Amino acid sequence: MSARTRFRAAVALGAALTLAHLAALAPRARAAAAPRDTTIEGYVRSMADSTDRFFGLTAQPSDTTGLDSLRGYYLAHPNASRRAGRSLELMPLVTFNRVLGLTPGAEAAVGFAERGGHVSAAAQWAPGPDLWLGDGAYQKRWTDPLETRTWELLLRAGRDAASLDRDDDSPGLSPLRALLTGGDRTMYKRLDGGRVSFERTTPGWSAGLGARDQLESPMATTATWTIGRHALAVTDNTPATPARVHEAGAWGSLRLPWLPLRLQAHAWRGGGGLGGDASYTRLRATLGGGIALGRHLTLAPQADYGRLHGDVLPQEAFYVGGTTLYTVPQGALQGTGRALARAELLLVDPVQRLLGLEKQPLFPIQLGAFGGLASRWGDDPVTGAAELTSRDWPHRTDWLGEAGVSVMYRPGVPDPLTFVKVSFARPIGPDDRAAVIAVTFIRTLNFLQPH
Amino acid sequence: MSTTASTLRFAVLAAALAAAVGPGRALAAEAPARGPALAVEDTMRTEVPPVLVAAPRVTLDEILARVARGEAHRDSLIRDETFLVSIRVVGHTGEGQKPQLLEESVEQVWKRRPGQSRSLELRHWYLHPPKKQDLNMDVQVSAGDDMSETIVNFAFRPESRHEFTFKIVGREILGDHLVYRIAFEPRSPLSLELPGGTVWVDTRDDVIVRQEIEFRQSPIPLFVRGIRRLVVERQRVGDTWVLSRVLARVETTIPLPRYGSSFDFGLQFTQYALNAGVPDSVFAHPAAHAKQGGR
Repeated sequence: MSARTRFRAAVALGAALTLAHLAALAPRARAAAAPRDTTIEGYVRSMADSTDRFFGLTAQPSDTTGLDSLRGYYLAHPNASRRAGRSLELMPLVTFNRVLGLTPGAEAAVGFAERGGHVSAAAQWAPGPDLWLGDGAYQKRWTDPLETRTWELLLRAGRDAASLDRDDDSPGLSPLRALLTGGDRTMYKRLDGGRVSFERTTPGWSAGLGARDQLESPMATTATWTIGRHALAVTDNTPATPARVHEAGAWGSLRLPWLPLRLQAHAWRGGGGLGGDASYTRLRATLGGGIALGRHLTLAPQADYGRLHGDVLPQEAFYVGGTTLYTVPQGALQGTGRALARAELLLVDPVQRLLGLEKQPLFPIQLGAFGGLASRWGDDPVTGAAELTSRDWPHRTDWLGEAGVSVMYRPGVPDPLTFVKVSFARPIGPDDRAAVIAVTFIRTLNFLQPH
Repeated sequence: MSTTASTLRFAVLAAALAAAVGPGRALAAEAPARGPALAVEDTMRTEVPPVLVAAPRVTLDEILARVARGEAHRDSLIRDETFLVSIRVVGHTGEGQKPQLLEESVEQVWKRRPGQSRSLELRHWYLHPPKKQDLNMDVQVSAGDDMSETIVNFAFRPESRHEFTFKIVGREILGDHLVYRIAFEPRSPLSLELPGGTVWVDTRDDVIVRQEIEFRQSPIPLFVRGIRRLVVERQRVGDTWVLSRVLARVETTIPLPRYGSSFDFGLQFTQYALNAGVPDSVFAHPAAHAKQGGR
């Protein structure tokens, strides 16, 4: 075979191999160029079309013409961006009660808790005791991107007037009652000093540590007037025992894995190695939750247990009455031990919807029925009437019961589960309590602290 | 005209009418014999033996776990993203009312892992420009630095799944896609701040492609009478499903000045670029990562 012939054969073989290779590649090329499966996108788009028809103008695409060049300009001139930082917040404050009188003031805050921290300062002038109240606070929060798990540090120092019952954390109608009808039965104490807390919160549980150094002191009634010119339901203010309190505390909250209930526990230790004027250990545990009974009813059971050991100060005692038991006036019973149990049956849907009157009522009214038990025992630091005891559980005769019905309206503020309730409660048991009609502004699970 | 002649004409007319109408009725009576008819089948019988499907049916729990994994996988594939978000408020959207665009803003958003984000407002239009900024009900949307789109999958995330109950309400086969419709609602009737709703899940990627959210009761009855409809839509960009629109119709308790008793709120996400790289200079501005919160 000549060289030319070999060359031709090589070219022919090369061409054949190339063609074969291209032929082999061709199906792959065709596969790569095949149109993408858009079945699901068409399906989603067909539903979007119905959304377009419902929302009309709102669903129409925006005109974004010219925004590319604007974006380029803003990136090249960062200071030309129109959004300015606006982090200083100012808010007026006003409160009213019989120890402070009408107390105006203001609060200023700056910063973000998730960044450098949130700093706030508040000041109020109380004309009754001729006293400045106010505090400064620093709050810093570390979160995951979804803010479901957080660490939070809170420092607060200043002067405040707070409820003598340290477990009373409901939003309440006390200022309104005090101003309009004089029906405020809350007892007050004065707090001077600072406190710090550090808390970890996750969807399932939370835990925290805290400490405080505060001077607790009594306050006297200074304002006996009301807008409605009513006489005050309670004129006196149960005095706190003056004491500088050095206290450390720990608390935790756990959602039970198999029941729709949440368990909270708190422990505080005052004095001892921490110093201060009072030495005590205060323990409290609460269990509560909402259990669906079919589609229209919810059962909201709650239980609470509290025990105080050591020095018994009125400001550390456990109180019964008011929102814990309607048929006992607020703060009328106190002791070193307390046990509460309450169950409320709620009609979830508004009455108007159930009657077929309105699907979305303007003023949704709900109904509920409740039963409650409460007891307190041990040393009564206010009246001294109860006998000293080391029992950790009440006698059978210590229990007081009640049952009743409620008509409720839920405004949705300050949180979704706070109701304005008008409740009719009848006492259960052989004692001299009378049936009452109580108007309260209260969370359904009011024994549990909001989380 | 004579009586005899008149009688004859009536007789002829009556005969003609009888000839015209009578045979027609007769034909109609005979029609079934010529038209389509159903035969009585009495010669063929068949029975299909039952087929026992041995493969286990996918449980709801497994589907929910797949959705959680699918959504997490979707999130993990995104290193950075940029998009335009248009925020629109339309007032007077009740029945019989003429909707009116009240406010519209357009923002450019950049996000990059880990934890970097920036939004730049490109346009803000008001029908009634506020005289004093501080007194205006200014609508702003926080984009945050998260790309997992919690507004779509909040009920299906492992940390919140226990707060909802789920139910399969439908399945549809589209080509080789199987789409599940899954309804969810808060487990506790006291969780009034949590919504319920329905999601459409494409089981090929195990991602949510659409969501309709419902509030059994208004979260804030004092101000909001109800949320009549809330729709969250996704679109596919490349192989990734991303937010497309969030549209809500809110009915207020008391008619608001300029907004009326019903108004719409809409977010539209467009001009996506995924994993295209975002220059460091974008995040060098002090406004970068100024706002927190998922979307």
